[in-house]
Amino acid sequence: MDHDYRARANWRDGDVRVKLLINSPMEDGSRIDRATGLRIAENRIVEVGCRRNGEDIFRVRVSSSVSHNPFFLFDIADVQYGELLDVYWQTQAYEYTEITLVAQQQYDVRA
Amino acid sequence: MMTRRHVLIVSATSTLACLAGMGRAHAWSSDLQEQQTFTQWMQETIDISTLQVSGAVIVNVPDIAENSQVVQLSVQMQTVCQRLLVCDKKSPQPLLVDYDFFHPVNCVKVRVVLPRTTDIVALAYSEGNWLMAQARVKVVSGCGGGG
Repeated sequence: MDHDYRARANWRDGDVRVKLLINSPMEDGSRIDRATGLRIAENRIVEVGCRRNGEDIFRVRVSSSVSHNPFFLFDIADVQYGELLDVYWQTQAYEYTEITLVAQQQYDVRA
Repeated sequence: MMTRRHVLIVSATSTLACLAGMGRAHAWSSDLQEQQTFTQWMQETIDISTLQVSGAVIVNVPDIAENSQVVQLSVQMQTVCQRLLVCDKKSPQPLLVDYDFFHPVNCVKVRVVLPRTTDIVALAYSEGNWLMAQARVKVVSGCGGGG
């Protein structure tokens, strides 16, 4: 199953701020649907990571205590303007999604 | 001479005192159990002999969280860290997020579920030492009086 997402990489003065919002219910498989009485299947993100030129920058193991539609923000140091960052995430069912972000200067109201 | 009224007042007062004491003892026991759970988890997970409270790691949480399902927390690292564990001190499964860094990362932010008022603890591994920082977040429902 595909997870919708929103992602961007804002470059500023050699640092890049990666924002990632993934559409996921983060169900841990323990809740019961009141309407049907059946257990809701586990469906959550278990790992998020970022690579640059094939080398890992960070990797995150996510517990079931993370909110639904999880949001992640990372301020990564020493990234050049225009560099490509491969951001990936994986569900408990080994569904793997990878996207490529370009470190660019972008207007951000809240920055 | 003891009247029936005196006997009733004395017995009611002693019953209330006993109940209040039991409540306090239960709360103390619960806090102790949570503390033991977290300490035990920490002993199993990290090398606590190198653990030190540090100002190089800063945990930012809201003072009051009105929606326990979405509480945004951030951790700023003023030193290069190789690993960062973000934990809920009062949870039976304390680990919320486990970061591995292979490149300098200054700040991380994530949204978590916190069912109760708790302390968020950040444990960062940097140059052979574990650095600890914590912050309290009060989780309320409704008008903010409880938690």
